[in-house]
Parts: sequence; C-alpha cells; structure tokens
Amino acid sequence: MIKDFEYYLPKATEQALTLFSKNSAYKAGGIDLLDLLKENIVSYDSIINLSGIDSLDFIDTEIDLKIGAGVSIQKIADSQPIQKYCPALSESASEIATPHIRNIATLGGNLCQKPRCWYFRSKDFDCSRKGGKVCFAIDGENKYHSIYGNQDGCAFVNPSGMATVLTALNARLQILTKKEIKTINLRDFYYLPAEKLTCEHKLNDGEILLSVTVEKENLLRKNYYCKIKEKQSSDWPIAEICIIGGINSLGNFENVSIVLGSAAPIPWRMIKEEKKLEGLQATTKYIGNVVESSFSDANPLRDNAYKVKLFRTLLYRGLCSIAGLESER
Amino acid sequence: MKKDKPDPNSVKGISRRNFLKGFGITTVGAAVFESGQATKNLKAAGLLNVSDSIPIEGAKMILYVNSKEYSVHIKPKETLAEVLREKLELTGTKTGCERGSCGACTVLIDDNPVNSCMFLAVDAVGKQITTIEGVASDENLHILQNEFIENDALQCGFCTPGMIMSSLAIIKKNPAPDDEYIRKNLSGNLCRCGTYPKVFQAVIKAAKG
Repeated sequence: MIKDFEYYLPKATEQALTLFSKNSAYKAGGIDLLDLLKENIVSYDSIINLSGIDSLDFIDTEIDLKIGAGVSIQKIADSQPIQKYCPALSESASEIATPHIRNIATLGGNLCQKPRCWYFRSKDFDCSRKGGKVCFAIDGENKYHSIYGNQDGCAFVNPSGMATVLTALNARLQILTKKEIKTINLRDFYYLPAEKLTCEHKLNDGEILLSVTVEKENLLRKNYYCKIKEKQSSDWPIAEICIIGGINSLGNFENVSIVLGSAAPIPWRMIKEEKKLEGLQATTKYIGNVVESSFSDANPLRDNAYKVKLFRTLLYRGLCSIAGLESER
Repeated sequence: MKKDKPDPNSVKGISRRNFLKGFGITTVGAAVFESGQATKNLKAAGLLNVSDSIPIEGAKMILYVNSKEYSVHIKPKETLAEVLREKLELTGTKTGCERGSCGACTVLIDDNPVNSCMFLAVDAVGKQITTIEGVASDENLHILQNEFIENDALQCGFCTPGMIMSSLAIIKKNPAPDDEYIRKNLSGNLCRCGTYPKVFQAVIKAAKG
C-alpha cells in the first residue's frame, strides 16, 4: 500500500523549488519512485511532478549536445542528431527497459534511480544502504552485484545505462539549487560506498537536475557500446561497456575513454587501461596485451566472477571496433 | 459444475463479478459523459484547475478514455490501472506484476504504450487514454483482434489486452513492421503461455490489412 501524499504540478522550475518542503520528492516519469513507494522503501508527504515543466524537455545540438533532464529515454533513442553525434547514447537508450518504460522514464530519472539490488529493494532487509549494519549481498546472493568498489559495506551496481555512456563522454550536469545553477561533472557525481553509504549521488534534496551537456569535442568521436543481458529481449544489463576514442594518423590510440556499467556502484572508469592505450599502436596483438593485463584488481564475489570474463571480451571487442579491426573474440 | 452445488463465486445468487460491479457503481460513482459535457460541468463548479495541486484526499477530475470523458474522484496515490479498473469499471486492462515488467496493464497514452500500473492517474489528466475497450468500433472487432483470433495468438488470454494495445501502437507507427521491429516493440509484454510466435504472426497479418 502506498502511503497517501499531496501532489503538485508546477509549470516552472522556480515554482517547483518553492514547493519543496521537508518530506517532499520530485518526480518526472516516476517509474523508479512508484516502485520504491509500492515496496514501502520510501514514503513522502508530497510529490512534486516536474513533467509539466516544458523547459526540462529539449534536445539542443547548436553548440554542444545539451539534453533536458525531462527528456524521455525513447526521445533520446529516436533523436537523429544523437544517433549521428553519439550513437552509443542512442544505442544505450534504445536498450533500456521496455518500450513502455522508455516512453515515460526520463534522462534525469535514469541517472538518479536508486540501486536495483534485491536486498535494498526489499523492506525485510535492513541493509547498510537503508541505514542498517549489514550488506546482505556481500555474503549472499550476489550474481548481479559489483566486482569493483564492493569492499566498503555495499555491493550494488550503478543501474543507469545513460550514466555509463555519458561518463565516457565526460558529460556535465546542470543543477538548480535555491541559490544558483551549479555544474557537476558526471565523473564526480556518484558516491562510492566508501564516501557515502546511504546516498548515491550529489543531487541534494530540493535540488533539480536541469540538463546534461556533452561538449562538442567529445561528439563525433568513435563510439562503441555493448550491453550483455541474460534475456534476449528487455532486461537489465549483467555487463555493459562504452568506449569513446580515436585513432590518430599514425594508427595509434588517442584519448580513449572506457567505462563499465553493472560493474561497480558508480560508472567504472578503466583509467589504467586508458593510460596504457594512449599512443599505443592499434593492432589486435597490442589490444590483446592490454586486455590480458586488465581486471587483476577486480574483486568478484561468490556468484559474479563470470562478469570478469564478460568484461574482458567486451573490452577486447570494443577496442577492436574503435580501431576498425575484426574482433576474433 | 452440478446445479445443486453452490457456486463458490456466488453469494445468494449474485456472482462475485456482478457483486463487485454493483459495488463499484454505488460507492464510487464515476460519471461518463459524451465529449465536452464533463469539462463544462467542472468548469461551472470551478474545479478545472485542480490538477495544479491535489490534496491527499484527492479531487474530482476528468479522464479522457476511449474518446469519452469520465468525471471521477482521484487520489494522488492511485495508479491509472487502479482507477481504470476499480472506478471506471474498465476491467479489460489487467494488472499482473504491478511493477511495469509484464505489460498486462498496457494502455495507450496519446498513442504511446505505457504501463498503467506505473503511471499515476493524476498524470493522465488531459491526455488521451486508449484501453482495450476502445479498440473495437461498435460491434466490429479491430483487425488486430480478428487476427489474434485467426492466428490463435492467445492461450490463457491474460496478457492479450496488453499485447493488443502494444500491437496497436506498432501498426499505428509503422504500417509495415518486420519481425525484428515487432519483437523489439512487444518486448514489454510477457506471455507466460509462450504464444509469442503467433502474436508476431497476427501483428504482421494485421499490418498487411
């Protein structure tokens, strides 16, 4: 049973800011919020629906790529400029959930959704992310949990497919607070459990995510995106990768950015591998060497060591694709 | 069932279904109007701007369903699926998982398929809602419904209203959908009997007309 709440439908972001009180929540599509309300994980006195605010629903490609936080996932998947400038983003969008959910769920909601961990989503488990003392996943059923960043009392994986790609694209978020519009780099947006255990990101209560910007220089670069699911049709990823990069005139890797999804509580950047690739000749042999030496620092749990294998293959395929080489794996 | 055995679904000759239907009518009292009339009535009562803020106890508002206007009392926490089924008595929309996974509750909002179980009824105010009850016209079944029958595209039938609604959105958007397009766009509808191949076949035939 959902606890009763008041409902507001503001027409402007400023009005939405003033409507926020102590136990309020903002919603856009409301898919994740309704799920949490139905499971009695959260309850609010008032819910402020942002989907009546037109200024949050836009895709602008004039200088950089700027997408309003209220744009539906389906719109991102269907947008021709996005298909042209960053195909990984439209591919990722078209792979999210089901057509029904993509029609309603928004970019902002996708970036800010709560963990999908089944212990977190069940009221009966007073887990560390809900303020309890134990992470039940670390010694429990952890097939879908993290292989990185899981040694500080919580093992969920960041569920946002948009975040995987936008982190690789080094996107920035514009956030409206009572005082200003602040900008946060998406790469700094999410908290590891070591930093904060009961909060996933830096969008504070009462603040509104306005838009996401990808700078021009990061558009039109080589894109690779792949999501591995258990089910062929709609499903959550068990492993996801996005690689954005280039090959210079000498045939060497240049400015490669690699991000794993469903690997860690945050979109997981492979910074060591990025450094190894810089200036490296793009051949299957060298790519193979980089892939072989990667993931030695992963910390798979009882049931999810399979992810390391999957990610190795994805990394190999992705780098081959960026280099324009046929992948043997 | 033998005649002398009491029907477990019946209390003093009232079937469970009719009892619930009667209950709905007497206590909830949603009113149906031809297009335009309900809006006029609410305007006269000064209630039309109620959607800017709705108190916990809810308010009377208008839903456009299958080209009719329903004046109905809605609480903010009620989902569209609940209101359709329990207040408007449009029980063709089914609720299965209640979490947006199975698609049994699929309705069209402005021609797009959505999970009505994950959609607040108050968010549907002002939008065109189409449910399975609005697919056939008068006595004539829609071509999709005919093709579902012809192609044996259902077994238990629980997923069928949702399947039809998603299929309707498919053929409205794409007059010549291929197998891949249909699979992708029906991926939000689960059929536990596994009748998918026949559903895909029915949609292809319906699209061809």
